[in-house]
Amino acid sequence: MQEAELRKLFDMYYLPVMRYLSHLTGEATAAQDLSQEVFLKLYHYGPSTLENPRAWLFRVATNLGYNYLRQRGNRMRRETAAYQAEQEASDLEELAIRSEERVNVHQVLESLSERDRTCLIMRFSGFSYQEIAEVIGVNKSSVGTILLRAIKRFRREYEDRGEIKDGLL
Amino acid sequence: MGCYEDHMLLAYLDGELKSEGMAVESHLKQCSDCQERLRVLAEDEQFLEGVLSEHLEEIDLSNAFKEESWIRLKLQLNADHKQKPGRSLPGKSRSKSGVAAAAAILLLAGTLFFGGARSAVADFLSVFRVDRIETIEITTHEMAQIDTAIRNGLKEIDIDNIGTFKIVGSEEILPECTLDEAAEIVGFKIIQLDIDGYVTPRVSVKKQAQMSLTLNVPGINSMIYSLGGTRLLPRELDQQTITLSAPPRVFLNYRSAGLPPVSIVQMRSPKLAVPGNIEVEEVKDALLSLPFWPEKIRQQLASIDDWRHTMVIPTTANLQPVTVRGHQGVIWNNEPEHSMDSTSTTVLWSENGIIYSINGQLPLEQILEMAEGMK
Repeated sequence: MQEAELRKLFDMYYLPVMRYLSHLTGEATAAQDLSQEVFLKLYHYGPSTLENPRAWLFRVATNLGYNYLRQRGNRMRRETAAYQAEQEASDLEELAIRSEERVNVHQVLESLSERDRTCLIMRFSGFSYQEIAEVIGVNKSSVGTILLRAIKRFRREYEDRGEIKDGLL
Repeated sequence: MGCYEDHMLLAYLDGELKSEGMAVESHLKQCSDCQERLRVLAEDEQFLEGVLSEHLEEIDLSNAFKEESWIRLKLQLNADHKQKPGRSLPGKSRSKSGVAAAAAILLLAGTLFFGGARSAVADFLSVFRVDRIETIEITTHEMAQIDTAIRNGLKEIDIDNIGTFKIVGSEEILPECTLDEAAEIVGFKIIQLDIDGYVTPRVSVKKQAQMSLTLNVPGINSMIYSLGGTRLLPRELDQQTITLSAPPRVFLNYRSAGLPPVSIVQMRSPKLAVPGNIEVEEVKDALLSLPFWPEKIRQQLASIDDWRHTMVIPTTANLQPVTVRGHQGVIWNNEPEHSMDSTSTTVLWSENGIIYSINGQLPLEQILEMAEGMK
């Protein structure tokens, strides 16, 4: 791919990709690194004629995003119970500090299945059902059902956590 | 036609139904149950929209961020290609002044000299003083080389992109005062010449304004990139403010009949305040990654370990390092402004936190002798 072409696609899609990966990973730094990797892949391995560059970029972003989350999950599982205790302590602390603030959106997102989460994030990043279907590998007609379930689950989980939090304080 | 399931209503809401959309619409007009469920779905979507966009508020998605990301991507591409960053220097150079080269060294020195104390408690300002002078050797040819590289690289750079300069207050001048008054203002003992013929100088004091620079890191990074550098400044430094306050300066002017006039300046080392989280090493690495430094100079710069308290002065043919009263200093000749004047000599050194300079139309040895004898 020529640099001029890369620049054009970068201008159009970098911020949406970054936004999407920020939602997916919940970490700005990770999202930044992964976004860079997406465009490096586009430059090195991107097909010379991309019919739908947007779908291609988000497919790659989704793969990289989940690889990252899996590695992070493994890393965290390898840690001992001490880590968890520490995590919980700091969660509580954070809860106290952020008493006025919202429920941790990222934790809610993480409580969903991979498919539900991707579907939700893509929908709210402005993707069509067709594009979502391509990325999560289902028929377009199933997207509505999956999305509906994901929305309801997210909201229930979010509100449950809110109640627990309110109960604590 | 019967009622629609929720997922169909959602698809309708999301504008995903084409021909079927019409049918849903006409059904909705006469079915209060479907209307109610559509309202709930719309409310759900709105709720998610709100929660998710709030989640992203803390993440920088500005165009400046995008531009910087592009630079990072390009650097990575260059590294992958094993290309040498930087560009070939054109053979013909019209540059003779070396001004830009000197500016680059001053930029490097200044930026490093502005670096902060890493041990400082976060968010507290760290204050330090410059109390060492280091010189690096540079030839006129090397100066010209750097100069060309900078001129080529900086063609499209707007100097305002580096940050915002501000001058706080104005310079006050106390044109005539006694030595005691001056000493009280500057806060240290003023030393005088101790040489025949040079007595009772005219004393004046200048109180300097404060200068501050608020860094624009994306702008500085694109400059580093245009110059072929491979290391960028960390984003955390963006919008951080560096303040330089110059302490009051005392001027002693000796004008005696039959002797060349001599003027002396004495001041405490300038004080810099930088946010505690500035990592001086990162700034140093970024600037030393610029490809135009001749290797010998890069090494000299890299070997200075205490950047925070050091002022770096490039020495050329007419600017030489010198030891004055046991301290590191520099001495140089000033070209006369008018052809009738003869060349003057300046010596500058730092001693116990105070910077001194002596200037006069005298030969180098005599100026040095004057410095050594001061009391």
